[in-house]
Amino acid sequence: MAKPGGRLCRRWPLGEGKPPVFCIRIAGLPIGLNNRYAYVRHLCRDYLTPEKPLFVVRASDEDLRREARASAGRPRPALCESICLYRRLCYRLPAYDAFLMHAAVISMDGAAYVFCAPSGTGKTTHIGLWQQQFGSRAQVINGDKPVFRFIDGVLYACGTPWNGKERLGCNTQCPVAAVCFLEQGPENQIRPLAPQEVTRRIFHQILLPPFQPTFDRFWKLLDRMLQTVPFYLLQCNREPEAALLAYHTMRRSKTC
Amino acid sequence: MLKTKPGFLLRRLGDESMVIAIGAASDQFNGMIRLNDTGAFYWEMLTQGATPDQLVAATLDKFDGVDEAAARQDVLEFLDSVGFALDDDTANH
Repeated sequence: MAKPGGRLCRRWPLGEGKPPVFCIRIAGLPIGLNNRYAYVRHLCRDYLTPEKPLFVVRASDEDLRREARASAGRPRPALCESICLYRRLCYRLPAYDAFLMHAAVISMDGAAYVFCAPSGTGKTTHIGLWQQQFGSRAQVINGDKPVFRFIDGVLYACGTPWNGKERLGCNTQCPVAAVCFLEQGPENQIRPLAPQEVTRRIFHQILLPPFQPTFDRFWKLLDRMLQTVPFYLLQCNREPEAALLAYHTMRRSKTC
Repeated sequence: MLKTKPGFLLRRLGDESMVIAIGAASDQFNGMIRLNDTGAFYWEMLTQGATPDQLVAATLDKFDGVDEAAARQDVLEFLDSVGFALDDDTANH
């Protein structure tokens, strides 16, 4: 990934006319970003749209300070701003039947297969196995932070510019076939998850809107996803068979 | 009297009840507490404010065949488990 530096860390001079806003289209929603650093516009280059935004987000000084404190290593203001903008954007999504979930999503033949796991468990490795097995039939939608949206009663997984340090993903939307939690294990095994088993796992992968009315809308979407989408647990090693097992099991359950 | 702190919300997902913290409250608590039906019942009372005695009385009222000592034990254990999510304006005697 091109790290923010030099030209892309350029700050817009204060007091010189209106601050810039550019518009991106994510999950069918045109959204304005009011940025101080050029980096985020470069990050969003595949999602730019000339449309008028439904709403505009910006990162406050306090947002940036908090993010800088939370990040390890030397401060990277342009990167912090892009993270803060995405967070602010995602807080607004439930009003449009959409929400963020930390996951890696890969599509095959028009269906999206969603993989959730704590960071470092092997989501990226696993979807790499899918790419190995299925070649160009498999397309990564987003390797890290996709947006999900209910459109006409169907849950779609959507590409966004924020797709992880490997920059895996593309600007597309695909109906979700199933969601699978990943755990490392010596043998490849997959089983459906009971609702209580899903709740405790999914909690760590979602972003809770801080404002209660939006949170209530988000909660309804989460409940709807749990009612309508099949959930699985895959224990897997790094062998190619893991991808085949996941695909053949999850595709049998798809309702799309 | 004990009362649930702002930002700590009881919600259901599927068949389960849980307490979650949002906004400023999530700085203090970043997880979720699963509650059974009795815990959810106590929590609902605490959203309006209640004393331990009131919770015990409500337990005896709601459930047959429970003695006061057992009810008190349950209530105190519950309050212990969610104490960080409650405000206590009981004056010190």
